[in-house]
Amino acid sequence: MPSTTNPFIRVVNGMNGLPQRPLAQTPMTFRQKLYRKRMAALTVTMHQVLEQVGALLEPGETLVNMLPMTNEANSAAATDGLMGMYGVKTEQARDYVTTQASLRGNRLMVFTDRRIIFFIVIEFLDDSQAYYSYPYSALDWVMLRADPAPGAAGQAMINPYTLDFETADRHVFTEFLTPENAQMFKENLLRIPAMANIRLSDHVHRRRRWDQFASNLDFQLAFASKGFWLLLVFFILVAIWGYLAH
Amino acid sequence: MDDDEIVARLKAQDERAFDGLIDRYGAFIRQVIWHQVRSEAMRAYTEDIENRVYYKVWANAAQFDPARGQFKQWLGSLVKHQTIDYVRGLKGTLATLDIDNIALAAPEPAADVSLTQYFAVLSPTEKQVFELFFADGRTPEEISQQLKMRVAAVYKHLSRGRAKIRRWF
Repeated sequence: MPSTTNPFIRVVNGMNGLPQRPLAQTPMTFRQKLYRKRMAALTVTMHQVLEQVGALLEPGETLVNMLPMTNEANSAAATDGLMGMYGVKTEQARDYVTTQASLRGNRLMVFTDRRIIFFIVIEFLDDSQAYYSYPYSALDWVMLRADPAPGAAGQAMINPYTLDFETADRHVFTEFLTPENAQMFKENLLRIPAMANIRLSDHVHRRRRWDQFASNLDFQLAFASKGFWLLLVFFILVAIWGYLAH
Repeated sequence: MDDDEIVARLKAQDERAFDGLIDRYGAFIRQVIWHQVRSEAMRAYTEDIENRVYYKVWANAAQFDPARGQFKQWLGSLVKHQTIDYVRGLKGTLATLDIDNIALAAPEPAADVSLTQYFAVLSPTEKQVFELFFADGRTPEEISQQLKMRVAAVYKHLSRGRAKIRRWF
């Protein structure tokens, strides 16, 4: 669900041509005006971002749509870095930090008719080469799995999706998607011809067996949750054995 | 912040100009948009129209000449024309953001974005799987339970079906 303070998802969804919920006809409150100002400033930033993306496109390559991700809606695991710190380098990135009060949280997955371009907005503003490019031809398998998670009391289950893939040159990408993100990804699988040969799966695929464990966040998280309890049971048994032995 | 200060900040590309612009003219901008956009369906795009207006004001502030009229008149004219363009279907989102060489395959405001047009080439079973997965947003596990098939079979239908669609479209 979009944040009430971070307008990134709403701005990008607007650019994608997605309608938003109808606005009230009452005058804007102080908080709404503040949010509006952030939206306006972010729109200016996104134009700069899109100019930089435009410079990356090959002749004839076209942009299809953009999938916005934020720490609030998705996950901070992949982007917050060491204590969530990042040192800005350029004036436009400094303005972005000041206006949006956001460091590494906003990231964008851009779908063209040939590839996925992924970057963290603030890093990309500072350095137009700070992005990852995943041609569809380099993707054999994509894991797009819904992991039902309990919602708040009285609410329906929420289904955060895990997206994972490895490219032909062994770059691994893992991200947690909201249901809206996942629906956009699914629609792109249908609408973008170059994605037609990508196979869908509910588990991680790696080209090397070792990477199935070492480069598999899905496995590591599962091990951390189940493995923790196994270790706990083990130590309890050891403690009981030690007590009985003495 | 008065008009002169707003204009000065806009021309200096100072984002604090938005503070004054929205405080002073936020409601006015929305009124002008809603005067052009009457239906509830189109008003769902108000935020995107406003974002484009604010960007146009930012990008074209240097063109405002106080000798030719007041800022509010210039602003109102810009908002009106931006909204009219949007309603006419020129919103093509990125295609009209003054960025060359980028095209966005975004649907028209009232266009049918149904995915079922792609399903015509599929077998009945594939069509069921596709409708549940893409249109209804069901997970493969839910689909396998509903259609009484293994999860692996669901994924196989998705892969084969997409290959068929690619051959036809």
